[in-house]
Amino acid sequence: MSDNTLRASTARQPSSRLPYTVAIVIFLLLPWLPINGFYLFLAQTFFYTAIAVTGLNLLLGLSGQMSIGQAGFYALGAYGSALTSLKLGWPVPLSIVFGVLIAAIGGGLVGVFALRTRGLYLAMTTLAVGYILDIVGQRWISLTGGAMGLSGVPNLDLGFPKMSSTVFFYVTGASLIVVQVLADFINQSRLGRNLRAIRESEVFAASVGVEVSLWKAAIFAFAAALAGLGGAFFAHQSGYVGSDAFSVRLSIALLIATVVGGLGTKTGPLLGTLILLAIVEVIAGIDKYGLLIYGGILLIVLLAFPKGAAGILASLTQRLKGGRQHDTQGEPSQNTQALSDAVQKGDAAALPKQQHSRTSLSIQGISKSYSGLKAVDQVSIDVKPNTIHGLIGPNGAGKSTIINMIAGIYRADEGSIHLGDQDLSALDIADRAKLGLARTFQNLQLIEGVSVLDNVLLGIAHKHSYVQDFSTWLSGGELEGDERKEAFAILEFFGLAQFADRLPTQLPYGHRKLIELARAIAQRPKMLLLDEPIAGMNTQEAKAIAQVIIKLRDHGITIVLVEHNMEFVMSVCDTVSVLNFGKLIACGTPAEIQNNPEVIQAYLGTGAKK
Amino acid sequence: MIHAKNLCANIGANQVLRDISLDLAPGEMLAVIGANGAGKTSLLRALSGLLPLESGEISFNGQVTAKIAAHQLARAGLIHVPQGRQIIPGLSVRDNLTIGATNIGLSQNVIAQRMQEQWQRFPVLEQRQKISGSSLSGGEQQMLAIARGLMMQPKVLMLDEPSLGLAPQIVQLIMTTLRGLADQGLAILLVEQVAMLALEYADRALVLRNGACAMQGDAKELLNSRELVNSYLS
Repeated sequence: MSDNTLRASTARQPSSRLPYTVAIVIFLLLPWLPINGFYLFLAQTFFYTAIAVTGLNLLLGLSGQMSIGQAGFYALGAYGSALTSLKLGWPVPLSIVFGVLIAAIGGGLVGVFALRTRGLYLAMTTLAVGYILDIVGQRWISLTGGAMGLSGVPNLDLGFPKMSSTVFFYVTGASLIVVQVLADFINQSRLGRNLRAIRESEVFAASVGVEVSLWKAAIFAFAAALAGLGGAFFAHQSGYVGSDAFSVRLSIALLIATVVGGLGTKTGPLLGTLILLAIVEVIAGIDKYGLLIYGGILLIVLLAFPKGAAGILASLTQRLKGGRQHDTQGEPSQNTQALSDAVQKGDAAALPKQQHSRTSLSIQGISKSYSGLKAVDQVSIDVKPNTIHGLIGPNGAGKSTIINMIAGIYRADEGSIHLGDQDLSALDIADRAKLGLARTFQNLQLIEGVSVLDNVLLGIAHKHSYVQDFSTWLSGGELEGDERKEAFAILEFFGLAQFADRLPTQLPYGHRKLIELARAIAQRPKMLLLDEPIAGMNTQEAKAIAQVIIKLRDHGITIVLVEHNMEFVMSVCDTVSVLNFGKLIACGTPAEIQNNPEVIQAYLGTGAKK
Repeated sequence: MIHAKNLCANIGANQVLRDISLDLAPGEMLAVIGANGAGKTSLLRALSGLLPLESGEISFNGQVTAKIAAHQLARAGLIHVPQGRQIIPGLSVRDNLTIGATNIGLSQNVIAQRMQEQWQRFPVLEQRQKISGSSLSGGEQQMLAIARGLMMQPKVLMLDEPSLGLAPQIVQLIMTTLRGLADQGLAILLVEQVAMLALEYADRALVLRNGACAMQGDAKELLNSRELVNSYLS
């Protein structure tokens, strides 16, 4: 494929600036139009609520971390800013910054404490934090005034007291624009990619070198900071902060706006906030049923429109443009032959140079027990540089445990693992990945919502800092140009270049397995761990994978694989190690293994009568 | 009793059964063996109506099963004893034993009588009938799972790896019991990872490999054949 096609197919859709421009023009003019002041107030409310919702959308929509406690951070921002400006006499902009900081610190702490909890438990933790902050607000009356609240919180007028409403409108609006730009950048850059990887699976994210705990704490802090900013603006808009504003109802309202707008979408938070405020206005009179109506709407959206308002909007515009939708399945599956042809032609020389090829893996006497059961017992395996080493054994032999110990998911109870001369024992998953250990997963790990090319980009080491990326992106330049070229070259090697812009879910299973392998290669590994590389593939796809693996070995990568398909193992591997009941029972060439009586017994078992 | 022809089935995009045919008559014990991932459990699930077919046809007792729900097949006597026993932890041994029979609406008299039969078959279960099913040993749980299946008046009993994780004596006891049931006229389909064990007790065997039938034939003949080894290791 020529360089031009590469550009055409990999250049990011330049994020259209038209919507931004239109929004800014309307925004600048609005306060000067002859409209009711109430609408100005509503617009302000929309701006700061959307800021809080945008934060939650990044947290939940991108990184998949559920928070039902955003109202707590909103309260931290509101009290932080109100108290410092009211009681300490700080200038309002400074107190807002303080409120945001307090909220960010609170969020970061929750992020750190919540590291060990996931899913439902994480949600419960954030709910509890939200409750605690809510109750502190109610009961610490000497500080917060409790339900009586703090009144006389100064306005944000920047020295124009007569135009305070207009000034506040501009400040909140401009803040939303800045937040939206940041969120867009996060969405489109590798920041968003890493967060999405965490959403798919934390082990997976760590295995491509993402420091999961740091990222989780950071995204919690960022989302909390945005909630805090929303809260601070709220305090200065109304001039009054009462504890009953921050109940769990607010957390749920923010959550509903996020989900109804469209989780993880760019426009979702804006649409969701709009819908939320519309509901609040409409049902203001029937307050008793507020939660009921929220709940009903949430249920309908979840059941009927899982992508929310943004999803509906996207499919409408798609239809208006004439339904330029890819035919999802048919084409690539007819393409299996083409795929294996491409793989045959693919030249490993086109792959990025391996920095430290020819690395050995030395496993010395490792053991692992689970509650008394020895899953792996004193296993030593020497994987020679530049070979394909198969790990086989019947069910429960300990293969997965060994793979997981090499990758760093489990720590060995005893023994050591060296990659080259580097001792891996003390390193975590991400550190091992950075040392050149790449892996694929038994049940396929890809980021579903982003393109094939983006999935490969996930593996590539980046040459620029985030600040450099951000300025490139702001000035309309091509983000990650070199990295994209490298990723594209890898896809070409795998015969997948024509699918670079597709979503992985639009491709057949065998193609997706290859994409995963392409991502692993993008990490420029010294050593590749393949966990059941051909599980679920048809014969032709399996052949393609076999060819790829052999080429990769010849390219200088050392490969360890676990696989049940013996035909594949025996034809691809240079050396095979056999495990049974946690012990290494044989190691040798495929031919030696096939005739080893102990191996035969391990596979076929023994009868009961003898 | 069971007649299956050219079964193909997928899980997701993955073809797990490729053109498998088998026959099982009353009084016969058929072993389905093969390495990990060969499709043994999928075949069992397809036969008991838990895995939809892409193509092919299964008939049970002369009736095509395609449109019959799994629980109705169980009521008709096609009983699946799942891998890992699936004992309900919160229920007593006795409740675990009768749950299936109660669900299919057998009368209390019949249930009591069948329960006596199971107590005779596995006396250890009678001693432990009041304790929680989850506090049984692995072997006792497997006996309970088999007894629970037998309570439901099976015409065909299909077992998924009954020897998994059990001590050799228990395995021998269970296999002898199954052989005895087959000799009394029950049709038994035995999925086993431990090929040599299954071949020792079964009449015939089907060797699966990558979802397809690699070999089939008389169990005793397969027992010593090199092709069987090859079908696992090459």
